[in-house]
Amino acid sequence: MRYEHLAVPRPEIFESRNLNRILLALLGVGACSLLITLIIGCAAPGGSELRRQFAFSWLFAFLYFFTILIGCYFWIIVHHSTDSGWGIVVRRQMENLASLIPWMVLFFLPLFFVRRDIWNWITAKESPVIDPNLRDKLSYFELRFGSLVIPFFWVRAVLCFAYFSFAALYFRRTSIRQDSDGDPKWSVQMRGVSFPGILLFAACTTLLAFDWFSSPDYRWASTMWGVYIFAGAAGAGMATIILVVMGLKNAGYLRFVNEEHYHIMGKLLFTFTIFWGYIGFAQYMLIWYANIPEETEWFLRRNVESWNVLSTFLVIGRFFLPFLYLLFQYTKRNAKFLAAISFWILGMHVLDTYITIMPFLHERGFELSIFDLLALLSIGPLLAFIFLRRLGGASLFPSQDPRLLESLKLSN
Amino acid sequence: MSAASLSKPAFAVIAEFPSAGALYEAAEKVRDAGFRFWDVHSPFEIHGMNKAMGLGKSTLGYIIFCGGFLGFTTAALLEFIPSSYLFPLIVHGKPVNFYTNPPFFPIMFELTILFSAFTAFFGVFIMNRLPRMHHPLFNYEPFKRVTNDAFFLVIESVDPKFSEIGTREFLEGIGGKEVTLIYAND
Repeated sequence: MRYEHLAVPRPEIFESRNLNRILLALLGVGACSLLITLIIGCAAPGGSELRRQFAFSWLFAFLYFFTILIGCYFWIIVHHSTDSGWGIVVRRQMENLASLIPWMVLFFLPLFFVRRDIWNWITAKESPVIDPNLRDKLSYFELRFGSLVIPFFWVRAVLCFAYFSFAALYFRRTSIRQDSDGDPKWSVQMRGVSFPGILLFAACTTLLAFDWFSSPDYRWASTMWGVYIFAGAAGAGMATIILVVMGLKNAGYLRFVNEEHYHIMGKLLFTFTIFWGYIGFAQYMLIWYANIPEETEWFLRRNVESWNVLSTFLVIGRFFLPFLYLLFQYTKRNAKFLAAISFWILGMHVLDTYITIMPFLHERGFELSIFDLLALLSIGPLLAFIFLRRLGGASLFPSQDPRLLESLKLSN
Repeated sequence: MSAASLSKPAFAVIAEFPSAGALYEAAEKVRDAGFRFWDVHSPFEIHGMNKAMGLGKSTLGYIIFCGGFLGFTTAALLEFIPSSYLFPLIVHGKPVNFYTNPPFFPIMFELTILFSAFTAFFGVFIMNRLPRMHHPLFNYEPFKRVTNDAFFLVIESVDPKFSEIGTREFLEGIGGKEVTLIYAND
């Protein structure tokens, strides 16, 4: 293909000055909710109803935003490792989103303080008669060498955060460095880093999924659980990337992003809709079939009373509807239709996360709490604030990437 | 050229192009000139060629959707009718009702895929009028290179705008090399 007639676009810098009012609103909403939530949550005595509600609401909001961000990070490493040319114009947005991961460390801190209310193995291991299920698993949470006890649970948390943070910042920094010198060696280097990056990503995501999001029920085990979290994360991450790119295009930037790029992103969204359904079903069917009490407990908990309605709706809303909707080419290429389904999938991801976390707390059907909303409002607007501030830090697309023209003249 | 071959009807005019890019741009010009019965041949897929040729969207996708839906329905009926109504068996102590469906899903999934794949495969066959033992293009010896390193553009004589002299000149004008008239089988 010949590209001579295509003009190389000039780097575009996002002007966050025009957004002062929005930035202020985001900061205000985020900071207020954060203060209210943390003050009430920390003032409540440990083990009380209020305290547990706060703890699980916070875990729910944390899981929601954390999975979206690692989903965005996943798309960076997939992009590099497959040597893709299609998405150069949108890659900087993946990098901007993924580089919010270090901030998630701050949002993880409240979880550390309420750890005894969430991860019940911490209290269970202190009881004089240890549950035999926990005794067998305790070496996963803590390494014991004689009298030396290494809290492996927290070591893993630190290692995983370190990996995600450094890798996400590395990809963004290297990509920005290439903006100034245009040296193809950075592309090659990032590709090289992305291969071990994928392995570590899989390991970290699986461990985090076990540690943080399923160990409130330490008896449960499922080899699919890490993959399930990843499947939801990748889909929600792609939906976020699509919305951010569309938002920037509506604001007058990234004019060269066209329906061909939407088409590919729509196809990836479609893929991960199917993948989510596939993994969710594979996990459910094997547990349902084998009928082992420790395993079925997970799904029993999520199918009693009103939880059953939500679980059924999740299957329809997160899989069947987007599947039929995205099957058509038109919905993937049309910006409005694709934006609608991206919003829908992000909404369904809220439900997915809610059904993952909340049944630990409300065993007799779901009970909405103001803390659920406050926790989402504490993390979401603050992340959006940091993101918008970060957008202006570099060009909105990798302006010197050797494959930029290939990405501009994309066709499916 | 022998007298015998001159008496045969013309099938098409063929032109060779040096690269995929050249073929792509030639296709855009042939499309803009308003030809309808023509084709390009290359050793590999050229991205965007369907647009350069002005091809519309294939109807194959809709046919495959119908095939897949048929597969899904077949599997669902084959499983639910015997297992839930005709010969309900209690397995693993699980109840016999509509919600005892997880073991049915893999079969629905696989029949959907199987029927879609068959529809796609045979749909492509029928829509391309395959199988076909011979094609007039094979009368042109250099066409063999199309699976290796050559890029060809063919305008067929059934096209209303086709004329032996005019089309030759047109193809030469847009950069075609070795422009040759191919004869139909007699």
